[in-house]
Amino acid sequence: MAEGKWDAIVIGGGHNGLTCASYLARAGQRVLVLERRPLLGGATVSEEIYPGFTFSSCSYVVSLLRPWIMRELDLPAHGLEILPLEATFTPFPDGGYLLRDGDAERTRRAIARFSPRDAEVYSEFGRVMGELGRLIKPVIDRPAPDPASLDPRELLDMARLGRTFLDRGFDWLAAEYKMLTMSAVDLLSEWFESEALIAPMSVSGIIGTFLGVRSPGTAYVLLHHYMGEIDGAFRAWGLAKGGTGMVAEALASAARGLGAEIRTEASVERILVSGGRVTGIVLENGDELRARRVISAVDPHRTFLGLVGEGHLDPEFAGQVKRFKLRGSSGKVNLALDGLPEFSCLPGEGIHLRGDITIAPSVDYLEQAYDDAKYGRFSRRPFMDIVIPSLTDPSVAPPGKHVMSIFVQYAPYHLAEGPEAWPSQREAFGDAVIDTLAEYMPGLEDRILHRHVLTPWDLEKTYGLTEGNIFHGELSLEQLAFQRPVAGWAHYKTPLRNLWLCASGTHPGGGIMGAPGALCARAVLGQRGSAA
Amino acid sequence: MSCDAVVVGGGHNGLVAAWRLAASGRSVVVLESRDRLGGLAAPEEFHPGYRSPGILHDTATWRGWLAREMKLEEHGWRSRPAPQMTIAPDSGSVSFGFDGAAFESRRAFVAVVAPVLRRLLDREPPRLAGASLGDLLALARDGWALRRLGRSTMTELLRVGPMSAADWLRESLDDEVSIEALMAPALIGTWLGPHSAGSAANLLAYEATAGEETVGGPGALVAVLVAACRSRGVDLETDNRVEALIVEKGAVRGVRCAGGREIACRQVLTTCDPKSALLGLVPPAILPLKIRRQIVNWRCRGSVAKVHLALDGPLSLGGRACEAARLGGGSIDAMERAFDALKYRRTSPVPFLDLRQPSLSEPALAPAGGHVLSVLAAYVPHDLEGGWTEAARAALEEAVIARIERSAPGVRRQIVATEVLTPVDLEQRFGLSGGHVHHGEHALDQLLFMRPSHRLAHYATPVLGLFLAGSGSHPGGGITGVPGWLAAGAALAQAG
Amino acid sequence: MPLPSPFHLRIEKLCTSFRWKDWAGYHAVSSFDHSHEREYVAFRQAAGVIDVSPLYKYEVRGRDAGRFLSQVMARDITRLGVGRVTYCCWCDDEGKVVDDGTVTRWGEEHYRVTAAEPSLRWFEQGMQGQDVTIEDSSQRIAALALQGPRSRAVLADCSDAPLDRLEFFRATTARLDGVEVGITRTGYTGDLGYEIWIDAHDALAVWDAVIDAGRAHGLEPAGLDALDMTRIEAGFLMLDVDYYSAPREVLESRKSTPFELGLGWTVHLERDPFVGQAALVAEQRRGVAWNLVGLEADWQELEALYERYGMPVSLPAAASRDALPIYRGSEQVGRATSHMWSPLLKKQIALASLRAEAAVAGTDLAIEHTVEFERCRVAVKVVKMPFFDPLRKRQP
Repeated sequence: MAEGKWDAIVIGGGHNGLTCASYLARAGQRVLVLERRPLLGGATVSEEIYPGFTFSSCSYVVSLLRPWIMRELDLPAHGLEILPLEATFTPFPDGGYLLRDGDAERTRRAIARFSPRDAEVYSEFGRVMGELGRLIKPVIDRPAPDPASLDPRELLDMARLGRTFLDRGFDWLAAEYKMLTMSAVDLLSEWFESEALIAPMSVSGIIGTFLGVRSPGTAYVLLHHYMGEIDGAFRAWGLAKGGTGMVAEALASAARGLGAEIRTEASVERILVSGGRVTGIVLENGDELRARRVISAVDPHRTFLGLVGEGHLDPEFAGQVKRFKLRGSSGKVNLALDGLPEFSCLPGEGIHLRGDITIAPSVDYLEQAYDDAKYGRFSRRPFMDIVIPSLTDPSVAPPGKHVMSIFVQYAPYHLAEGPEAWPSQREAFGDAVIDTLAEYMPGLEDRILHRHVLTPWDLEKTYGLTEGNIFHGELSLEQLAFQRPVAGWAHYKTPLRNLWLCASGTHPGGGIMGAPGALCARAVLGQRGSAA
Repeated sequence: MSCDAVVVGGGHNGLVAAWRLAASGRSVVVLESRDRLGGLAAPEEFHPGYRSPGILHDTATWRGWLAREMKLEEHGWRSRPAPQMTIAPDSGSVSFGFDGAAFESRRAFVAVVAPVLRRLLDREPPRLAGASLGDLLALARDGWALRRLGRSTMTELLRVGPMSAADWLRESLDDEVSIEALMAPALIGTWLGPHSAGSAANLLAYEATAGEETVGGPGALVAVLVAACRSRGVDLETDNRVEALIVEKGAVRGVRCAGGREIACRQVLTTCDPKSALLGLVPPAILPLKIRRQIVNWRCRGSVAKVHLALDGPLSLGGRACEAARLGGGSIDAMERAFDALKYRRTSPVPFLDLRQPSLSEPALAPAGGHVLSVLAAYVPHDLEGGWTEAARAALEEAVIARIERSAPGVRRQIVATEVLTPVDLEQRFGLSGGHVHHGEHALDQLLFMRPSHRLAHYATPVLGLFLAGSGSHPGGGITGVPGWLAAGAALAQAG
Repeated sequence: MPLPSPFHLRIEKLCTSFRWKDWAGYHAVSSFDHSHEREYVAFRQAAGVIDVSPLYKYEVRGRDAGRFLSQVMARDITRLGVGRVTYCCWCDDEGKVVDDGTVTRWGEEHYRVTAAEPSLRWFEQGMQGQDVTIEDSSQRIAALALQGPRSRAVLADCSDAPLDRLEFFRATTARLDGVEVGITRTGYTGDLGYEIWIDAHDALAVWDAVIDAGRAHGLEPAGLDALDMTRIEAGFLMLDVDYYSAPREVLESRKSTPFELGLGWTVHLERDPFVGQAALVAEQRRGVAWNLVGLEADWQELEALYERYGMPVSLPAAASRDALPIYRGSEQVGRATSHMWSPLLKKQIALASLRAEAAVAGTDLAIEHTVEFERCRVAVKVVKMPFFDPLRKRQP
């Protein structure tokens, strides 16, 4: 039988796989999603690891989920509810703190305590970033044009993009270019003088990368923070009610409603290739499933070097895939607490606990954390991004109890002793996190009921993220846009006929965006142009 | 007194610019604040009988086409192949040059892309703002040249550019000792480490433009340039510091020198770094605030010190008298650690040294039997924690000597005298903002059409008649002569 | 949450309406009573006192202070003598207004600049190797505006200021109830009035003395609502209402030059370089595209309009900042940014930004006016500003 029952099999039930499946099903395709784990969502998952405590084990904030996907798939009707994060709180070791929240005047005064000059330009900076975000937004909502292509349609896309910028003026184009090439700290230093502001703002540039805040190329991600404000999703930064897994649940519900079939505990062993064409997959249990197309929502390494196998690849392409860098750099610590923790610099409950808590006291601190990672050690004093979802969403913890989600960087996959040394360093890593936090929150240790530590090794073994890279590949300039994952193969298509990629290893990259999944579906369906 | 154009700064770029203007019939005065011409390329006696070859000692990126254009051979310019590179990691082992299949394939790649890169680096950067039809055609030609390389070469170039030097080199080479030595030209003088994104672009630019060296080194080159300028009637004045530009109605009317002397002119080409030029020479309230802000934000934190050693005999490494050497820590990590120190405003405990013994080919630099070592030591911060005290300078000197000694035991006993120039010394002696030998960071956001800002990348400034002709302009630092040449071209074009 | 001003302890007791506003991060009273009318009447008939401490204040000192300010401001500050005050605006490179305020020369090498928005960084970026320092004195210095026809009498009763010699836009130091204060004959009401500059520590003592002295003269503490009405009658602009600060905007259409705002009279073009000079020179040559003018509604038409709905004319008692479109024929030619019913003039008046060709005095236009949830239009005429300009404002 040349044609199987399925129009498309999607490997991996993460948010991109489910998004892709939903769009294909919506177009009338017969779609099957295969998820290895018993739970859907991949890294977009909620897990009740300890009874009564629901952790957003991996991804913990919903930031860039494209609003058009939420609207088109009607995700709120499928149970998705985003609760706003109210503030960004940065405690300092000297007992001071910086709290930025929705009250512009109060934020201005908080910043003015460190620098009146910085307070003066803070809102101007936000407006400029917003405008730069508005200009760059079309790029993340459509396939990346390829400057090396000779396809006139591609060239037209490029020209159109160029036009947008030239129309807005050369100053804006130059500013955008700087965003792409500068380090977060250098860029912020052009605006601000106080490290109390620069350090916590700079960290958005390094999340999930193997770069430091002074490394060129880290400024770009700052824009993402401002994009949410302008794409029609008010307060885009937030927590999914019921945990991040609810994003996946809503997507799965949408996909099923549109006719897609989703199987969990269905681990794909390999992709069937014959004569340069993909014909289906083989499950771990030996079942062969045929489909007109196979769409991989796992990262490029796992897809090509694992599921397809190098033998089926052109050696040059295989080499390019291998060069695609996936060095994981972060870990996660989830805590079940029997009470609300307290900061010594700002005791008691308050808005500062209901937002994003950033442990990034100075640029040198962040650089030292990065230095540890460069030489194969986890940071002794890491950068941390913390949320306490149970404060805004009591459903995730028993009454009076709390869950705390701690994103930790740096935790290099490649330890000096090799990645397999991680299991033996897992607890030491957890201790470093708690010890660091205890400097700001004395008594935290005594409130911990359970501690769940995820190292990059665990992210790879449990969640299938190669080298523990949460973005399926570093978000460095040479791995973005038309070069993600490989130049010439950035449009979701692969050199193997009928094999497609739909996840974070493709344009526009990682984070809970859904854009790669949706754009891949459009490419599969032969639709061009902007998705929005 | 009056002339057509004043060139502020008599370094190599200033001399090139002056020559080009004079060759087009302009009357040109070069004003140099120091007692000698040549700037960072000027030899200087640092101990009786011993002369350093200049702060920058590598003439490999001096453009051969410029020498032809300026007919420098008539004034005695000669070139020779670059000396063999001695590579001495901290382990004590010594090797000579680079070879092997992997090097050959890298060289082949560079050879393919070099013509395209040179097109980019030896001409005005692409003009994007208010591009004319001619500019667009030029841009299209560049694009076409790039495209003609073939799709894979082009995408490879676009891929490599933003990478870190370490990541790029590690794709083809395993031997970290060689990688470290190869990376040096991309990193020395910059605020980049091996893992810093964008450093691969610096390496590509260096490898695409490095060729033969000038016989006699920077000093000989300066002498030739001076002779060429004189032959064209350029008026060269040393010990004459320009204090301010005279600007009327937004246009240059002349310069005012220390002591109050004024020279009237319609054009000024300054080879000072962008901060010194635009924030120092231009009177207040003339530059748009937007451009001021860009220049205030111009990154020029020095990262390298210069050490000169007077020896009573030649330095040998691995049994050979060594003309050029790179002394590293033996691995990418070692160099990265050296860079780490810079971030915390400290001097690298084990500095990376780019070393020359110019007296081997130019015996006149030292008394008979004596030799001169010229050492660029990375990384050394301008803003050293605690400041550049005598103790800090002594520690730096000791770190450099100790490092050389580990590769050349016994060298300490050969030392007759030393000179240590920290970034602060370089700033004071040469007026370099931040002590940055390239006049500003070589990073992607400060190169090409962003050097020194997207509004100033074509040498002209908002002050009519004022041009930036130094290393702070495209294509940047090093002894290339190109910024001076292109700035003079822009000045000639404006004058019509 | 806003901060208390230096006068807060007194003011909070008087603010029986609980009508507070956030002004530059401070608690500021909208009106002490439920209606602001008594305060407005006091400003125009007797005297009102308002806490203007939230203004941003900068002390500019040094040998080059005057020259420096001239480089930053559109006005030539080098011409300002000691003891004088001037009103001016400052612009960006393109000649678009950043903010406006007063500059007072308190001493040979000491100037004070007031601003609506924080401006320290903006001023500092123009500094280059000059002998100038800028101190942000916003929190250190409290300020009261004492305005109205009886303000001189009030001040005379509580201070030793030489008021007979203090001309319009002059400054002096004086003792007020034993406290050293600065007094300028300036204000935002377009009437006779003074502003008192006080060390924040002395704020309450000065408040008490002024209020005590005011009892005999009908002095009322006033809030921002009353101030807003008087400033519109005086034709004074307000940042973020009638125009926007250029560096804080990304849309070009939201930026204005001094000429477009009717502030051309504050601009000195022919002099040493200053920020925005080239752009302003070019604009003066070219002519403006927009102009900020005063509008006066046709009362007969207004009455007729309400008559059609079977109602008497009913207009809000307070000034409004909701911009209204202005038409000439069917074409929109601009917007009214501040508008109000003036109880003093018995007129509906507005400040409006209009395309230059529609901004000529005497031009007949129409303003949108909503009656009973229906959008209508009422005839308006471009008139000369200020709407209200009493002789006593400048009289010796």
